[in-house]
Amino acid sequence: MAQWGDPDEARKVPDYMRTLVPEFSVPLGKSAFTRLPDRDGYAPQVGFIDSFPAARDPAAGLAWLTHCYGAVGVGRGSDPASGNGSELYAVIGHAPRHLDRNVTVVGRVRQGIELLASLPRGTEAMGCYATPAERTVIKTVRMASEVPAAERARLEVLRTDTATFTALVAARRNRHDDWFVRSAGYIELCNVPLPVRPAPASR
Amino acid sequence: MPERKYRWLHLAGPLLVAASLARAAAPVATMTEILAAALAPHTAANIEALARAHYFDGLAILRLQDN
Repeated sequence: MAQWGDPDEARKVPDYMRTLVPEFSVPLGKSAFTRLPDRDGYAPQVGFIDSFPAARDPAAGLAWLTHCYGAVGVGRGSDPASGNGSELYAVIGHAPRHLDRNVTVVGRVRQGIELLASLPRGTEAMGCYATPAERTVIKTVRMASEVPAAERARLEVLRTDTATFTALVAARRNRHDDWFVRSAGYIELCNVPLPVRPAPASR
Repeated sequence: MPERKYRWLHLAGPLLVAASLARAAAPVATMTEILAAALAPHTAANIEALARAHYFDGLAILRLQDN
């Protein structure tokens, strides 16, 4: 993973947001769930909520976002409530699903994950960089509404409650392209593509 | 499942975050990430407040490993 934050731990987070109730999972609620029929080793049910890879435990009445490539999570200390969102990480490698329900997953990089995944690995414990010069500086982080309209990313993600998505998953589950000599007949949650494209100018 | 009229979900609104990375001797690059308001509402609100206060500006990527 790639984790970012305050290297000097000098920047003040307002008192009222110093700690945060963990949202490792949330009540099932009414969110539409596109269930993936394939089995999963980590959760009773897996699928997609708002085109985010997600999991559910109907017996417990809980849902949560899963650690797939591109997932953004909240760094924390030993105290489960110690993550406040000021230090975040993005998954840049094989999906660490064992972290599910141990941290709050808060979103997903929809565009540009390769910019993080291609950075040099840190050489110290936990992948920390040995020297400050090795760190990539975050120039700015802005809510899209603060970005001038002309510079704002206009993106669309394929809805998972569509026949197109069902067909895409089926094609990935059973590859029949010329190169393949054997189809897996199975797909794992984090292997399901969630296509993102620039929004057509007409929208 | 019948095909829907709109197959693509427009990613817009206040929960979209744009981040710019500065690398020495390299152009600034941008990433876009989405905050999941339905699945982590309080956390998303905290991050939005920090972003609006420009809290993250000038911070850095501290560690990077293959998970």
